[in-house]
Amino acid sequence: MKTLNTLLIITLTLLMITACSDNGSNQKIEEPQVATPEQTVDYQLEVDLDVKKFRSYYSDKFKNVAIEDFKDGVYAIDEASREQWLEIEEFPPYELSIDEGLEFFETPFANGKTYSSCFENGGQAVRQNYPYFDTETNQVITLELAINQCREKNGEQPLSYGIGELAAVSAYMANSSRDKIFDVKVPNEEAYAAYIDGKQFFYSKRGQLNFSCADCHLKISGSHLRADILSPAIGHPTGMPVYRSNWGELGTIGHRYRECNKNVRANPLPYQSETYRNLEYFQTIMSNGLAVNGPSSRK
Amino acid sequence: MRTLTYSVMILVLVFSFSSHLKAEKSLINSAETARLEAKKLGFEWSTTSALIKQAIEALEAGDKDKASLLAQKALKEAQNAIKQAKYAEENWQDAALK
Repeated sequence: MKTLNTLLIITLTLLMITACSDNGSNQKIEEPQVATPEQTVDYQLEVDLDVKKFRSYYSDKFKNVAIEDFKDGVYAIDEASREQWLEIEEFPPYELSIDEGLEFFETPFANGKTYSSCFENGGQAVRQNYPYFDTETNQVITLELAINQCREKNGEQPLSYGIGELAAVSAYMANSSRDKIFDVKVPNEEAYAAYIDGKQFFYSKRGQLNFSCADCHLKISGSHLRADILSPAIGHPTGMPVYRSNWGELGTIGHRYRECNKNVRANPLPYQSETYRNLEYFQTIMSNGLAVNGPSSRK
Repeated sequence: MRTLTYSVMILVLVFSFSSHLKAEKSLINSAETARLEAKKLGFEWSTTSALIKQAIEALEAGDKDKASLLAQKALKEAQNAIKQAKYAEENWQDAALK
């Protein structure tokens, strides 16, 4: 009897061990996931969702236009305008500015260095990386700002933003980057805040006419405003800097922002103000995946 | 007696004129303060500062009615710009793509 009891105990013990062992192999005990502040929000994912919505909106609105063609602005959506534009592009009005930009780019500063000393790859084919969020200074760096930072770093006076020499240097650099694809990132929470600030500007009505960027270039893009067709916002930054016929010269995206604000009777912000840089950051991210085709010409 | 009556009338007119000027200046100051507030918010309208400048010029030229109208218009514009900024701050996300 005693032997039988011992055997029973041993059998039960073995069964329990086996059961425990099976449990262990089939079901891993999940350790509780403790979310760190960095893990709570995937900023890039949030931004990527916005990009997807933005692209879908324009693809739905202009069904015959391939997404990559939005880099051509209004000439992607209106065939008649496109034909005229292609004729203009045979002798592009910005060509002289590219030559001037090359000369400025290669002319040494007083210290003997040139612009190429400040940029990755000697400043060639880098336009698609701008603007970017500098995680050291926590601000958006546009190409135009980087050009002036380069000058100041080398003991030169900064150039005036908007038109002229700085726009020409920007044009030369953009031209060397043609067909490169924009892929601007949002690396952290501070960058996301800058992105949101730009997004807020884009969707906020302003000026006596009470228009937002989105009103003209998203909601009613493709419609006529007097003799002009409102261009889609997607692709706006790809062709910058731009030679506009009504300016009669080449200008930066900041120059265009100021003009747009004046058109709705809002006082424009200063060139390269934090908000305009954040707006450019937002707009360029919305154009991620499109190719650099600046400098360009527009009506 | 007649001299006294004239003196009182002139005093009343002078007082009335200077108090009107004070009112105009105050209105112009209010418009300028509101404009600066709109500017601080980044929503200043491009038309407001010109109205204030015209109001000052009208006042300097002695045209109080014109100065008053222009200052009131400038004040209204600046107040609307501030309202616009506050509305945008609270509601801009409603306009964003969903």
